[in-house]
Formats: sequence, C-alpha cells, structure tokens
Amino acid sequence: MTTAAWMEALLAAPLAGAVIALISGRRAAALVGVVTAFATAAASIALAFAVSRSGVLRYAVGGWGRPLGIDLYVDGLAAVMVAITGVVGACISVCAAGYFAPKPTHADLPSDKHDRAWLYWPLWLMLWGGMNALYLSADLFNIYVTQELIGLSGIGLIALAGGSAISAALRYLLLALAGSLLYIVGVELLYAGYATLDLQQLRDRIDANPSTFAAAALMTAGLLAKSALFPLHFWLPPAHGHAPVPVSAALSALVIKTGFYLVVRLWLHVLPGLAWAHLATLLGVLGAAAVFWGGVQALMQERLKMMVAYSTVAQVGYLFMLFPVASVPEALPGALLLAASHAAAKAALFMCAGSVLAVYGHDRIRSINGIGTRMPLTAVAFALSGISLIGLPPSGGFAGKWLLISAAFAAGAWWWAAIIVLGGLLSAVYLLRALAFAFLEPPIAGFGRAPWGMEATSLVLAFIAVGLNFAARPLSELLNAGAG
Amino acid sequence: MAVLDWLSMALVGAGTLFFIAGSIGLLRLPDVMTRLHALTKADNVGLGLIVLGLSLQTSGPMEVVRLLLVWALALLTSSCACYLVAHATLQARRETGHDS
Amino acid sequence: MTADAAALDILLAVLLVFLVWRLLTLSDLFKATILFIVFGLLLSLAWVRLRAPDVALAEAAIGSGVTGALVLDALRRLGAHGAVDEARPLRLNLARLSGGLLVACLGAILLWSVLSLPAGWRGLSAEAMAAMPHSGVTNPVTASLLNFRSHDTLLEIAVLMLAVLGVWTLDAEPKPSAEPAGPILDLLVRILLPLMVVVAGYLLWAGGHAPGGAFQGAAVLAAGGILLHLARPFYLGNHVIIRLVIGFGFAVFLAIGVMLVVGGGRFLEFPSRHAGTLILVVEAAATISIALILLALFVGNVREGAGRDAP
Repeated sequence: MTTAAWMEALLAAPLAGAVIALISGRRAAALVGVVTAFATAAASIALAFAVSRSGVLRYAVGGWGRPLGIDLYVDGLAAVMVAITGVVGACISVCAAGYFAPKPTHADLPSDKHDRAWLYWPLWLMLWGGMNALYLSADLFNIYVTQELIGLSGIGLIALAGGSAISAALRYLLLALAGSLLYIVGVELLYAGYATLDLQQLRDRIDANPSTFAAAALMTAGLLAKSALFPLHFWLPPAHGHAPVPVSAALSALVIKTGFYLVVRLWLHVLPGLAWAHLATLLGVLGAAAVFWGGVQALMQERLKMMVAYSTVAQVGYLFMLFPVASVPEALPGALLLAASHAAAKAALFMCAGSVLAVYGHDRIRSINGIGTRMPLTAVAFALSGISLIGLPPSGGFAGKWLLISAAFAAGAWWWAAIIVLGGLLSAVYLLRALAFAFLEPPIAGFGRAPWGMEATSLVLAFIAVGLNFAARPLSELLNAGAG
Repeated sequence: MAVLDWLSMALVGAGTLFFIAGSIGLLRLPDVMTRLHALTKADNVGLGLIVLGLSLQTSGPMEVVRLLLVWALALLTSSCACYLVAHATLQARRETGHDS
Repeated sequence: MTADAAALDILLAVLLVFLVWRLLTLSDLFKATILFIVFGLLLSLAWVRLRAPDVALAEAAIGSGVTGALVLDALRRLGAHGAVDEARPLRLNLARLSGGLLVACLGAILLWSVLSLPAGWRGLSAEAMAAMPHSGVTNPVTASLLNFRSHDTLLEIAVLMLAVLGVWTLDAEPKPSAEPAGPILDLLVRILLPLMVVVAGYLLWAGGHAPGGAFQGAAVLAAGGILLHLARPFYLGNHVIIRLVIGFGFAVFLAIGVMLVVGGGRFLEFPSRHAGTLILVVEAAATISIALILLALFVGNVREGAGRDAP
C-alpha cells in the first residue's frame, strides 16, 4: 500500500471504530475498540516506513487542493508523532480493556460508573482519530477542528471517573476553550492577511507585519496553554491525577504532545521567516522553570498518581528547551526522542500507579511498601520507566537528552545543558523516593488482586522507553526523509 | 401607485404606533397582567397593520400569503405565550399570596 | 453605504456591547439569560448586515434559540438558590483588574492588527466561485461546508456527537417532577410541530441553492423536539436506537468518504456529476442526527429507575 492509503486508513479507521463502538454499545464496544486500536497502530507504523521509503506526501482531501480545499501533509515529523501515538495508543487500549471491563475491580472507578464504562471506547477512538487528523493536517483551520475533537473527547474521558474528576474536567474544558479561542483568532488574522490556511503557502507568503506577529503570538499562547507549559500548567495535575488510569496515560503521554507538535510546526516550519530569537529564549526559560517547578511539586506530592502528573509538567519543560537551540540539527531529533520516550514511560508510570491502586486500594506514596516483592512486574516497570524519565543510560530519555545537550553545546549555550542535567537529578530524587518506599520496607498483608493486563502493558511500555535508546539514528533518518 | 404607497406608509406608521404604545405599556404599567394586556394586543394589531401595509407593496399574491402566514404564526404563538405567562403568574400568586 | 445603514450598524454595535456588559454584571441570572437570548438575536441581525444569512440563521436557531433554552433549563435545575449569583455585581480586585488589563491589551492588539490589514480584501471567494460549477450545489456556503472543506464538517459532526457522549458520562439526574403544561401548550405543539418539521425539511433542501442546510434545519427540528419535551416531558436515555440515530449522520458521511476511496478516488472526493446527490444524502442524514443530538443535550441524562441508566 502507498503512503496515501495509510494516511486514509489512519484518518478513517479510528473514527469508524468510534462510531461503531458507539452504536454497538456496552456489549461489543471493547472488542471494536481493541481491534480498531491494533489496526490503527499497524497503520501508524506502516506510515512511518512508507515515509522513510518514499518521502513526504501531500494529499488533497476531496480533490480540491489548497488553498480552497484541505490538504493533508505527511513528513518525517508528522510520521514520528503518528507512530508514537499508534504504539502507545495500542498499549493503552490493551490496558483499558481490562480496566473498563464489566466487573468493578478498581478503587478509583465507582461501581455505579460501570454502567457507563463502555463510553470510554467511542471517546478514546475519537481522541485518537483527532490526534491522527491533527498530525496529518496541513490546514490551520482543520487543525483547529481536530483540537476541538481532542479537547472534547478528553473532557468526556476525564469525567468518566466521576466525583472530583468532574470539576477537573470542567476546568480542562474552560482551559481548552480559552486556548482554542486564542488559536482561532490567530488563524483568522493569518487568513485575512494571506488568503490561505495552508501551512506551506503561509510559509512562502509570510512577511513580518504587525498582524502576523499578533497572530503568531495569539496562536502560540493558546497552544502553550494546551501543552501545559509553566505557568499555564495549573489545570494539568488535577485533570491527569483524577482521570481513570488509561485516560491519564493517554492525556499525559499523547495529548500534551499535540500542543508541543503544533508549536514546533508553527515556528520551525511556517514562521521561520519571522525573527523570533527572543521568543525562542522565552520558551526555553519557561521550559527550564517548568522542569524545576514540576520537579519540586512532584517531590511534595503524597499520592503516586499526582506525583506522576506533576512529573509531566516537568517533562514538558524539556521539550520546550528545543526552541533556543533549534538551529542545531541534533535538536529536533533529540526533542522528539524525548517526547517518544516520555510518552512510553509516562503511560507506563500511570499504569504502575493504577496497578498499585488496584492492589492496595490507595496510592499514598508513604504506604506502598512491599511493591517490590508483591508486584515485581510493576516494580520493574516503574524502575525502568523511571530510568528513562531521569535520563540514565541506556534509555530513550538518555539518548534524547544527550542529543539536546550536544545541541546546546553546539549552539554555544551550555546553560541549557546544565538545566537538563539538573532537572534529571531532580526527577531522580522524586522517583527514587517513591521507589525507596516500594523496595526497602517489608511487605504487609495485601488486599486486591493484581490486574495482570495493566502490569504486563506497563512493562512493555517501560521496555519501549528503554529500547528507544537505539532509536536516535532511525529517527533522524526519518526526519530527513525526502526533506526539502 | 402613489396612492398605494401613501396607504402603505399610513398602515405601517399606525402599526409602529401600536408597537410604541405596547412598549411604553410594558415599561409603565404596574403588574404582569396589565403589561401582558398592553403587549399582546399592541403586538398583534401592530404587526397586522404592518403586514397589511407591506402587502400593498408585494409583487404577487404568493408574497401576500407568506406575509399573512407570518402574522398568523405570530398571533398563535403570542397568544399562547400570553396564556402561559398569565397561568404561571396566577400559580405564583396562589403560592405566595402576591404578585411576583 | 448609506447614512441610515451606517446608523443601523452603529446602533447594533453599541447595543451588542451594552448587552454583553449588562449580562456579565447582572446578579439576577434569569435576567442575564434573557439578555443572552436577546444578544443572540441581535447578533444574528449583525450577521445579516454582514451579508452572511447562513450564519445569521445558525446564530438565531442555535446560538440564541437552542442555547438559550439550554441555559434557561440549567437555571431551572439550579432552583431558587442558583438564580442569583452571589459573586455579582463584580467588584474590582487585583485578579479582575489584571484580567481586565490583559483583555484590554488583547483588544488593542486585535484592533491594531485588523487596521493593518490590506484594504479591499477578497479572501478565497474568487477561487470558490471558479470551483462552484463542479461543487454540485449553487449556494457557495454549502459548497464550502460540504464539498471544498467537507473534511472539517465531518469532524465537526463528530464534535457534536462527542458533546452527547460527554453528557452521558456524567451522573444521571433523578427525574424532575414535571407536570404536563396544559391544553393550550398542547394545542400550540400540535399546530407548530408539523410546521417545524416542514420548515426543517425546507431548510435542508434549500441549502443547495439558498441560505439553509443541515445545521439550520436540524436546529429547527430540535427546537420542535424541545417544545414537545416542554409540553409533555419525555426522556431519551442511551438506548440502541438513540445511539444509532445519533451516530447515523457521521457514519453515512464517513462511509461515503471511504467508499469514494474504494472506488478509486480520494477521501471525500465527490465526483462532480453526483456531488449534488451525495451532498443531499449527507445533509439529510446529518440533519436527523444533529437534531437528535441537540435534543439529547437539552433533555439531558435523566435516570428512569433507581441506580440504572435509561434502558
């Protein structure tokens, strides 16, 4: 099959799965969901191979072509993001099949919610379809619509947990709406100025006038809010900390990256013509602040899930340190590798927290003693994904940070490298604190049964996070596939 | 033609006067029932006069029918709305003992 | 532009700003809601003045009508306590002051950038007009929504579907004690409902060559449903037939898009000869689904028995 066919499949499959899951209801939704998930994941990987073989592709939906119609566009960057989403998404689906199964086994999902647990599947597949559509789109307004799809399904997914998750979901809704509003105003200004919504055409036509700067600033602000970059992160910990486990994993591992991806797309591919050195520095500084603020907050958390959620605030910070050194060729592969390994490791960590919740009935860090002996799979998964998050070798986190640090030195800006190393130390402190309670204390009499599906999936994801150590070269090659 | 135009203007003007009277009544009259009285009577007659005035300016009978339909619908909904508001007011009076 | 048209525009603009100010500062939420509905109606007049009748129709039907009914209903469910917002009228404090300054800056930036735009701007209307003969319809708005940018519309319908799913994820409310509203409302419904169905069908059909289309038609249909619900309360639940109808429009749209690929074309590439028919099919299916979606949003998630969802 060709690149175009894989793109069509990646758009249509999750959306079709979602509507079939919706219609088939409680009885068959999970089956439809898992089948769709594996099909979509396979297509994501196939797309990456197709792009590395035959290069970038532009696809005119409806046959009209830009600027009148909507174009899809896949290059290495888009293919990498789709592939990350595919692999991690499939793992999350496997975990969810157990988690949202008809029998109540999880402490954080009230039993009266089980009647509605099947709604997870249409919502999650819509979310996935929205992310694929976002990565593959070359049209600013179409990207806005995909963000609405992602935001609204995310809100429904958070609300599935009920209770205090509802207020977190509503806060997320308000934030997402505010972010979308800023973004769409920017899009209108660009359309008014250049009479096109196509990324490539905008890149060719852009010139530095007040309206373009205003548009770029508004869109960036909206996207930063959605990617939870400090100080716009306030909504993330409650939302990601209170959502059901597979939802936390999806939001933290995947959805956050859509905002980051759009900022990268916007500034590296559409607006490189604007002189934006100051903005790049600002993004880097905010990233550095996020690394420390998120790290310190994570250290102070009492609950494992909240700690993992605050760790996302910190990890988002690393990604944005790409911008001040973006002119160096290693920087983008480094940040993407970091994004990929964070996606795998963070999904794994949320699942570990979920397994602990299932067995212990709580996730208070001080009282999770004995995980090392009671739940060895979870303990190993926790340790391995921790290694990747800290950035110890060998792991995807290490390889990504290594590339970013090299880029920082190549750009003559050693201080970014120092911040990356210090941030790694900080994450080591909070992750080892939790691990210490898990390993050093003697086991106590246990409660629940370990959800083997979730444990196994978290282990697979942790191995992926570690294995990404060797992905630097193929990733760079994919990014350069047919570039130009 | 000029006679028709003058007639139109007179009818529309009279309709507008009814609207103004209704609006003043809505603002100045003391309670819900009297306000309703002012509003619905004025609206129905006012709109009717305007429809009549506009009917003289149409290009064919179909347009007159459409205008009359608009009036008929407005009559129907406003009289029903009037009843519903009055009904709700009566209920509220019975419950609280005074006009709310 | 003539002087009286300019005067009308200025009056509209001033009224709109005044209404927004009032509805944001009133402490009586019922009055604020009424102002919100009035605001929607005036805004649709503004769309008419901007020569966007399609948007005006959608604004009046959805922005003012259905949304207004939703807000009123939410207010009713909040009960007497919810009707007054204790936090209003707004007093100035540091957070509000900084928020206000931020918004003022944003407004200034917007004003500045709009003024810096080139005059005599045409956008993509020339390209759209050139492509109209191949679009299968003669109303440029419908051509844009369902052909040139059909991908957007497909995803927008999915967004509407998600809204209902979101409502279903929330805890079901116990059934409110609603009594039938009486013979007069019944009579009104009996006369209006068939009319609304006809109007919805007309709007759907007219969309091909005049202002109208699936969204507007669906809003009128949903308004009919809401009227019926007010006269004789009923509940929808998430029964399989309800789910089928809600997913129907999106499923038909997506299936047509995929079948065109299977037939050798591109995703959502309507062959010029059949475009008109395909658009009508998609719009008809979407009208039914969107109407039920809007109605389901209004009716909400109501428990029939104890502890269970509607069957």
